[in-house]
Amino acid sequence: MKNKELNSLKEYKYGFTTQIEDFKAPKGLTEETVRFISKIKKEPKWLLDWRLRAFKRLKSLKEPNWQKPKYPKIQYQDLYYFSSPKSLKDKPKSLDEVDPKLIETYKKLGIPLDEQKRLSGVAVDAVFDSVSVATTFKGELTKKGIIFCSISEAIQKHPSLVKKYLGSVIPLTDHYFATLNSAVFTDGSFVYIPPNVKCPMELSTYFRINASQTGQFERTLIIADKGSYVSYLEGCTAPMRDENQLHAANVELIALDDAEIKYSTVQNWYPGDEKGNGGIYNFVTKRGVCKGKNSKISWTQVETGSAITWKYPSCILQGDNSVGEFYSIAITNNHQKADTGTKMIHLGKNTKSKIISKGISAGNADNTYRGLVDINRKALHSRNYTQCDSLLMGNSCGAHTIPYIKNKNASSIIEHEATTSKINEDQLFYCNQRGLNQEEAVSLIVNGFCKEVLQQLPMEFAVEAQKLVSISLEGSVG
Amino acid sequence: MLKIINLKASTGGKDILKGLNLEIKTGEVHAIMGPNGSGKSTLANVLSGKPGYDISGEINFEGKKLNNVPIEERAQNGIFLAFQYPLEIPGVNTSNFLRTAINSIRKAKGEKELDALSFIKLIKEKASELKIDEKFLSRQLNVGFSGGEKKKNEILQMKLLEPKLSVLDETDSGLDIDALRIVADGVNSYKNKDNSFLIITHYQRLLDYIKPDYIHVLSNGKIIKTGRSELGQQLEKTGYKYLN
Amino acid sequence: MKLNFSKEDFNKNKDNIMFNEDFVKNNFPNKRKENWKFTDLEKILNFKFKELSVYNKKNTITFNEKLQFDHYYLISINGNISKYNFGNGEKKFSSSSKFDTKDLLLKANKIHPFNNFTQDIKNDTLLAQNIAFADRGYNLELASSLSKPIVIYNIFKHDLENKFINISNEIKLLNSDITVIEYNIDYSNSSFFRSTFQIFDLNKSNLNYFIINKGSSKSYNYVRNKIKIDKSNYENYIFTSGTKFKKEDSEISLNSEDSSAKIMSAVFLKNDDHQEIQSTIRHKKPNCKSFQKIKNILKDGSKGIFQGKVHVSKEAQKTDAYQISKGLLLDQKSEFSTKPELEIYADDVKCSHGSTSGNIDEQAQYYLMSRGLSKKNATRLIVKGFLTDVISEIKNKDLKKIINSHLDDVINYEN
Repeated sequence: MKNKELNSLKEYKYGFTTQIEDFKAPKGLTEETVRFISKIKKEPKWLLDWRLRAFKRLKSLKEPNWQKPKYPKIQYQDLYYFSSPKSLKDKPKSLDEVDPKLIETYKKLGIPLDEQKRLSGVAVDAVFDSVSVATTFKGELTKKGIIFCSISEAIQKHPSLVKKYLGSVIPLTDHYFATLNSAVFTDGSFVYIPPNVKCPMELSTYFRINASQTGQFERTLIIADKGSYVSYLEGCTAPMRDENQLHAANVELIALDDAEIKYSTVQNWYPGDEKGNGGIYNFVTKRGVCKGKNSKISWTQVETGSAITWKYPSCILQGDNSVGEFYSIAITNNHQKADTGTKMIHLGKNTKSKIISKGISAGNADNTYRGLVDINRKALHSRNYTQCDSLLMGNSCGAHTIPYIKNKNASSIIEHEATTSKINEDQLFYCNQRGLNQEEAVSLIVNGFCKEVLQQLPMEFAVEAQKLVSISLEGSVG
Repeated sequence: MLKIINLKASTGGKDILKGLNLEIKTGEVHAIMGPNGSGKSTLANVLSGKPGYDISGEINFEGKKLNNVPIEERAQNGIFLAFQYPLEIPGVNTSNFLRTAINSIRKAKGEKELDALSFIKLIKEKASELKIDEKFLSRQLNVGFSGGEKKKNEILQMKLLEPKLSVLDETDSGLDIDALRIVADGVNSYKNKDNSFLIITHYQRLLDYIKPDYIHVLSNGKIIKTGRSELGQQLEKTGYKYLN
Repeated sequence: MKLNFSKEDFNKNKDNIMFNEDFVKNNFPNKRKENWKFTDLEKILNFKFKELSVYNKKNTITFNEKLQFDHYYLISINGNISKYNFGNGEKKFSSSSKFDTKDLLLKANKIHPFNNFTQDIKNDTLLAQNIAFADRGYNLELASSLSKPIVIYNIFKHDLENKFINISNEIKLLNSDITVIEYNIDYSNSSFFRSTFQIFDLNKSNLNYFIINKGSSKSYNYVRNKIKIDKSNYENYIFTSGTKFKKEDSEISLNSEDSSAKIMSAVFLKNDDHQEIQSTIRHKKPNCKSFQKIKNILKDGSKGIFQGKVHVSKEAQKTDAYQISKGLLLDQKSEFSTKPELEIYADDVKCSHGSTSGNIDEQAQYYLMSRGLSKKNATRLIVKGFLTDVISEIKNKDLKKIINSHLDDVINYEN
């Protein structure tokens, strides 16, 4: 390390030059915290500088307030931005100590016992085979030249790839939460698929070692090189127990010529209780760029958890003939609020985008689709098709549709359709008449309503997602 | 009247017509039969000047090379295409459209444009010949028409526009037997020694009503056999296979 | 851009509102305001005007180009009512006019109709300016139906270059069924900014309100409507092609059961025309209907914008709301932007919206040309067809004829 840098580090009184013993950053959002995180992760200087630039920028930004869900002010200075994995003694010792409601949900989803323990954070001994599973897959992937590791590992082992693409889709100046993430992100996934390689399996955080401790500021970077294909699954269909209040993840996807990335999310974080206490704020920035010609990015999301969800997985269709897709189910119940949608920015010629959004609102919840379709002047012969359907269950919830649509050239076509209705009573009656109870009937009809999106999910995922859709709406019909 | 010499047509890099020769003299009725994908509809489209085809060879109509003549000029010169799938055009009023079309063609021929009254008289007369309810005049062009109504509307347009060469592209498909008879009667009542027909069809059925002078078999972009009307009956029995 | 005004320009009747001279000088709305997302007024005006000065002259003229059908009329010069005719011949208008019947009242606005919207005024420069400067407009009250439509000849004449005209109007209806045609004619050949604030108050009534432009106008035109609907039906038809800049904002409240609101628009925009329609329809009570159909044809780098919001409150069960916006782009320079928005809090509702934009259907063009129509004529026919379903909604035959020929003029002008 150069002397100058050493000196600059010495100026701070929190002992950056000494060995750190407990893995806890100082409380609060300060430059020291940023330096601490970078230091502990042994990051190169360019990344520290990058984080600091983001931090500096953050100070001049205001938290956005245009979104529909309003939330109590977050006390950023009271948060810890880095803490070591919980030691075994802090975790519940057996399933008996876990919230029985959570266990019940697991049972309904048909999740095996070992799995239940892992998901609810029960201390599981090292024999648990997820480690070995992960290793097996890793071997197979390495043979194909696929890099799949934590972003921290990638920063150490593949710095040139990370440096080239990190922040290339979501600039660190983008908006408040994206900038916050850039300053203090702790870990996340990194995927690189080499040219002309079709990734032979669905990649998932599920299989990655340490996946459950990526923290609240997750950073994911996926690069699909020319002619490659990858399908990535985020999250898990079981409700994750998570105490973090704020989640501000950034996900960046880059698809080069003829490459395809499929990114599926099933999000079922703690939504708060029936009265609206607690729950996660899920403020996520997800964006992909179809950089190369004939490339394709497809987002599929099933959002059933979190107290507030606020995310717009987007596609920048830069390459000619590139394709962007967004399939979404957002279910809100009790006091949940979701404001989600997508942006499709058409820049290249013959670019196509498709948006299918299904919003279901029950209880006292509020569900908003917000989207942008922007076909630029030079994006000749482009097309967009959008369909947003909302279903209202009960009379205390809200459903909103706010699309922004801009067509700037005559050779392109945009079609947008939206409907809002309540659950069809004739259908309910028909199902009841055939012997289904109210909940079964609702589940059946809602799953039908969501079918177009559920179909997009990988098979084994779809089955669980269907069950999840039903569970999320339990108790919403009288 | 029509002479096609070594016509080749391709679209989207795919060759469809591969050197087609055909001559239709004034007063003649020709039928083209052939299996799916042989290029029948392409021939009709190319004759009408539909954009999107790369063409070589020559299409000669009344001594004039047609290859680069715009669509509407071909229509004004007397080429009419009865479409296989007549398009629905929402918002466009049928009678307004027909009047504009008639007058465009009359103007091109140097004839006087029809005033509203004589137009209505003319169209009512032609519509009743084809047993078309005159209410259709106030409807939007082909919107909500049944398959049969659309085809009858095509024949009505033919009778109104009085073309020299009428190309009927599978006009019989989707018609029940009564509608088929009405359409055939419409064609027969218009047919005379000064005009010609090119009838594209899959089946002998229509040719039982409209007797062709010649039948051509189109296969893989070329005419592979030409004969008199018996050829049609033979094909009906044996299928196209025996030709190969 | 500088806004020029003197103490004398201030509306004399503004006494009861807190008035701040500095506020009036504030910037015009820009993109940061959600309602101006697609239309940065500040930028547009800055681009066109070095300065705007408040217009305070009142003029009269004789006008002989009345529409050829049986109607009553008001003649307004630069926003100021100068004459009227409600059946007993043409009369000169003074600040209030007497009629045989008590059911009809026409007067100048004493108090600005938006005076009570204190909250709005604080956040809205255009409104504050209008309240401060509006010195013209009309107040029309009716308590019974009229047998003939009322045409408001809205004439702009004389040198209005760089002028800022502020107008406020009010229509109050009780138990009446009327048709009003706002017929705009701009002879001034000037670039000026016209800001109009209107309140329509409907009680057990039907109002059909048409807006038509004759010829084109270089003016910049902003209109804000507040429409209150009680047991009434409101229909608004907008055919305002040819204005350099036009933004028509309507806030419509369906305040009692079985009421309805309808906005229909068919415009052909060209020569850099900029036209925006923004509507917010608030369904506050059950069993109300709203219907919106917006059709824009765009060429020569023109811009068409539709922002339409349907808000259904918790109480408004059995709401039926439909909205469609369609743009037909005829060249590469033009733009069509929409924001069709639904905000719904009641569950037993039927709400939908659709929005499409694209170019002319080449298949349709080919079909028509194969019948001998020139490309130009085929295009005209398709363009007219695109607008047809708006025109077919007009019930009054005379008006339908007038609007049909008006649209033909606009379409056949050239394309």
